[in-house]
Amino acid sequence: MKRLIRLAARLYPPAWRARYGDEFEAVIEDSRGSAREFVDVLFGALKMQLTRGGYLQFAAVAAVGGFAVAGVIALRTPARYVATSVLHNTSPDTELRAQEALSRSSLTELIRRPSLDLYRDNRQRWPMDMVVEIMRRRDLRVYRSGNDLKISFTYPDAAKARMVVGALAARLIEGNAAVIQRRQAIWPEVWRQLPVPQGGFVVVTSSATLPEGSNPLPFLAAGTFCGLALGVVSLAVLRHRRTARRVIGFALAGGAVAAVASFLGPDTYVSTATLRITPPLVSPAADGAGAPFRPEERFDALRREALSRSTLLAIIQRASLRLYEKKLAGRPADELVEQMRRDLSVRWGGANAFTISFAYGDRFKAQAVVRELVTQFIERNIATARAGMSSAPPGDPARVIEFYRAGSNLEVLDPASDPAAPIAPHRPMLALAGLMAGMMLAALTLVWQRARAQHRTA
Amino acid sequence: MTDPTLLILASLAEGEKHGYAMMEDIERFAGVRLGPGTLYGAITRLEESGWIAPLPSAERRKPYRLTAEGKRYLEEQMTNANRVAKLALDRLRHA
Repeated sequence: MKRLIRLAARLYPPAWRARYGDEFEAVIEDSRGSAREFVDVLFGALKMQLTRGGYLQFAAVAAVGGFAVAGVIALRTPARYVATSVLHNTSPDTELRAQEALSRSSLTELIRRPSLDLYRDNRQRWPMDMVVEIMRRRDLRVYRSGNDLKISFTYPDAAKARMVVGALAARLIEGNAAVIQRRQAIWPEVWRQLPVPQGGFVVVTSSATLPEGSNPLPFLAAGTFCGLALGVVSLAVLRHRRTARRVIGFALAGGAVAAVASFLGPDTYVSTATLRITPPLVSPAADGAGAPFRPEERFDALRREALSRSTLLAIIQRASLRLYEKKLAGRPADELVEQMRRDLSVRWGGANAFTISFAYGDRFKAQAVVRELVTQFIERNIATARAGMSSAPPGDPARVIEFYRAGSNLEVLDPASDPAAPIAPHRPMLALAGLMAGMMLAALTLVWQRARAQHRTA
Repeated sequence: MTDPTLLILASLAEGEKHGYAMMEDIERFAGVRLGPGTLYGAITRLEESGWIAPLPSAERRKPYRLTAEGKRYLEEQMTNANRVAKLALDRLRHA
């Protein structure tokens, strides 16, 4: 232990060691050499470096400290495992089933399934929609590679990771089989003279569940950098106490003012729903093969109708909603509709899907508006399909397809979300901006004071 | 009392001592065992304040003595502490 204490004594600044080194070593020699004394000497060295060491030396010590802390965190962080299932011989149909498997309701069921009970801690802190987003964006990956569709899921529990990809693959295969079965049943009713297309068999193989190959180097580098930055800042604060006090005081005041101000403004909640336009189950083209399926055209037509002035005005004025009643009281109807169009976002997201989002100060009204718009889209889609059916002559394939509801369809993948947390104002960001503004103001006052002092001396 | 600065001054009030002797003395009269880091951190501050001064010595163990300023400072602190202690005891008796 005395050897360790002597090593710790070497961490004192050189100038201090030149003056006290010999007698300090003599005291260490005479002392008991306990672990408590080692810690005492180590902290003494850090304190001395902080108050009298050089910037470079202290920064180096702090960087080593940051590296050590990052190393401990990296070692203590539980391992995560990646389970992968590969679906071979897949078709565009399988991708549609993957969209369903990744929908909010499907993932919510998986998360809540008693045998899985995923993200228990996160569920206690955050609303379910947010937990689903974490699963969808961070841990779950579905991607195509040639005719293969890969599903991988990363989770701290290897068995659960394996069960999740297994459940998703099973869902995809079941969905695929049901669609093939239905197509084969309807096909002869539409195209009696054409052979029934055979659905491809989807084969699943599972890879071994492996620990996530994370690289600790960036984390260690970040720890070292943070230690270094923290060390330099602490040293600067200690060396220039008056300046530091001013900067910290102004920064805290700026942060506090921004935080209070952020609570004075209204909150904004955003509800979102995802819909998709599915291709027809049985092709309406004369050869029964690939008829042009243009979902974007259908989307544009539906959007035009659903977002018309009359539809939006009816939603705004609905007794249960009464949107913008306070904000735009007494304003002309056109202004209300324009405001609603600004708060509304209906975007084509690719892969046959599109989202409807609405931002409003009341979370329940935001959700109700999105629900209403989803209904509008669905109703208009049905009306379009019926119009197409009634205009077609009897016996026309399009008519038969619509009769069996096997045409291009509009489906709700994710219903209107309940926005539990507001998206604006972003309070932490505002407080941070306030802190920065306070620091800049402090710097300006310091510069101004110095300039005034120089002017007086001159 | 656990302030290492005052403990060192109180120890040197008896006469000159080197670091280890101070540690032993302080443990005896105050029941506090100062570690080498704490002891020399306080010695550095005290010497810079001019309250203690090193004595010339050929040995590694360098003795220190209390300066006149250090004596005055210790007296002032102890008188204050004494007054507060007396007042507190008085209040406790009449509580």
